Amino acid sequence: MAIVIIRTGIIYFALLLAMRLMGKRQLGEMELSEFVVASLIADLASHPLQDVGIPMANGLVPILTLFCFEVLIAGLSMKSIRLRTLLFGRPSTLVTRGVIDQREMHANRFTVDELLQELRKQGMFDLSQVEYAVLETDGRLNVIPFPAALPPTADQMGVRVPDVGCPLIVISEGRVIEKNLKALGHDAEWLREELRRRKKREAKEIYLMTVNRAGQSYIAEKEAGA
Amino acid sequence: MKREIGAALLLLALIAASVWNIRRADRLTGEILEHLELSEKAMLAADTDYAEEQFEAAKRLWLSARSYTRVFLRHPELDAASDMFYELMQELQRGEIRALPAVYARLRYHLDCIREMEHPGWGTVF
Repeated sequence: MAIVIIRTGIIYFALLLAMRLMGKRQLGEMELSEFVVASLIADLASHPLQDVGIPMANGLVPILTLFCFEVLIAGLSMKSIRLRTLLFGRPSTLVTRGVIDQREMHANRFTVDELLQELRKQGMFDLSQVEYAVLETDGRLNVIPFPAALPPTADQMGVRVPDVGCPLIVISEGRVIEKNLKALGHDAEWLREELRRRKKREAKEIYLMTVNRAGQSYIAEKEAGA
Repeated sequence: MKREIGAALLLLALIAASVWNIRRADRLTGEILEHLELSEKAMLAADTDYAEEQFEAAKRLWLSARSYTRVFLRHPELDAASDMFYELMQELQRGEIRALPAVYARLRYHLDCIREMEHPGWGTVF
């Protein structure tokens, strides 16, 4: 058991180091330690399942150990910026004021093709429109276009747009979500009235109903036999 | 912060359990080895009754610890040790004195390996 704990620790930190050295491209939207845990846990769990000769404890102990390491590392890195930088690295700016930083590209093993591909994914087909491109610690590339390439906002165009907030689900598959109804400042009486206005008798007939702060609603009726 | 404290406590509990496991394995194999040693000495001194009595005590200890061994130790190692116990029992019943030291030595070595496998060290960790 002690050996299992020590081995888990060694493999965890070795993988963390290896993945850190490999660069952010491998991660695919997961933080480094999450990626390490995710890649280890599936395999750890499968061995005692496949081989009944391995005690369950040999599968459970490393999983629990990994959980402890992950929570402790995440907690400590919240407290210490130095540890966070050491473990997860820093975001890398691949494009600064429209200029590709070739040294950063090389350090992150990012090719020009990959950069262009990532930009295209975000709807940027022209590199000259990109002011900043930042490779985050979880492997995602965030792009900030030059102001001239940004679509104008309502503010810039002098248009007043009413703030209707985020629509909340009020009826989901025939069930009324009381909490959301209350959060919108309405009650069951308002909902009954709203349904009556839409020529519906009860919530059971509704598949989905959303309401925003302005009281505007969207209704999808339940299909027969659904 | 509660999660971190919980994780630290869980890790400490796992470490404590592993220390308990090392001690339990040490105690179990130590007691069995003592009985086996006495059994072998008695057999070489031609005291077969005492030799069988000590062997039975060792076997009983091994079999009664199954609820512990099956949870914490690798099953193939346990099965191999059980096979060796029955092999030694067979040889004792046969009374073939010349073959006995080797069978005793094999079983003792295997039990020693089981004990060592629970101790962290270069050989066992890497």
